[in-house]
Amino acid sequence: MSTFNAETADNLEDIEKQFAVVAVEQAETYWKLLTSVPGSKLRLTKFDDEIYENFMERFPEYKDVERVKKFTEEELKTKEAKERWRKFFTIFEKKIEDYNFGTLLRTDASAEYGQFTTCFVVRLQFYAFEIARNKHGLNDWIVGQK
Amino acid sequence: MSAIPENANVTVLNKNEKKARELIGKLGLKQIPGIIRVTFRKKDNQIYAIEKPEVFRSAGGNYVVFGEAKVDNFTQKLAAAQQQAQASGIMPSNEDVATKSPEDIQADMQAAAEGSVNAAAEEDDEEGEVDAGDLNKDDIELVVQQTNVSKNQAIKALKAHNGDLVNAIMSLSK
Repeated sequence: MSTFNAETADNLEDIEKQFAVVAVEQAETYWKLLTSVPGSKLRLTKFDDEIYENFMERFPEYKDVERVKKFTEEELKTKEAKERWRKFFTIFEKKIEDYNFGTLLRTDASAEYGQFTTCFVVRLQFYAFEIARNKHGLNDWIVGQK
Repeated sequence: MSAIPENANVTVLNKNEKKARELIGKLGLKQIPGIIRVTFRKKDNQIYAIEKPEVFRSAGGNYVVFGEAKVDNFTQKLAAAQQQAQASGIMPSNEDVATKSPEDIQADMQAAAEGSVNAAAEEDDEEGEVDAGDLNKDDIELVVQQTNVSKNQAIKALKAHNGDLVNAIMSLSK
């Protein structure tokens, strides 16, 4: 029998916090990358092009560069949007590591990670937006920032 | 904090603690989770220990610690632990240690040094072997540059994360 006893198990809170810690580390690591390499030269995964093409195909509204640059949290979290994203995830769930990990995403490519310019998304959404932003050179201004 | 008897509980007055917390809360300190013990050592080796403290950090690098401070007599604990270890035969007693001559010790040290040299050499041998596969050369360079690891380690990390740059860097910077 397992020695794990749910009644006496502690650290639960720590485990919950753990994913937040990872999300912040991920954001910091990504930011540091952008400060040293222009986003347009960055390749985040082996499937950047594939993610971008599928993103544009399934979410044609984001062909509008302005909407990739700046979006609202609400537009990702409507019932309809959630359904479309879920279908998008199924294409990459086998290919992208941690595709469903909670990840911080800037709502505005012209801003840093900040209290009001960051929202919580799934890793694959982060890739879709950031790859598109990088392709359009929207993150290149970050090079040399602190 | 001058005369706190050993093993005594030092409890901060609730009212004061509450006030202090309120004041400190206004300073915009960041709580640091995951700290299980804070110790203070005084000149005379007396140790104040706070188990499961709440630790806050200011932007300037100052720390504020809340918790119940207890006097922790480390030397006494150590002595007790040593005695126990000796009794159970885990640790060599003084006589055992004394039987080692200086020559023996030197030989031991040399053997240990050679061992580490060998280990280092082995690592070097591996250097040429790791195949970059279909990894992007620029990605490898980036990982090396961001984390100060060897090219081999960068390649391994990138492979382990299937070319995912951010994940690879994160795994190396822990």
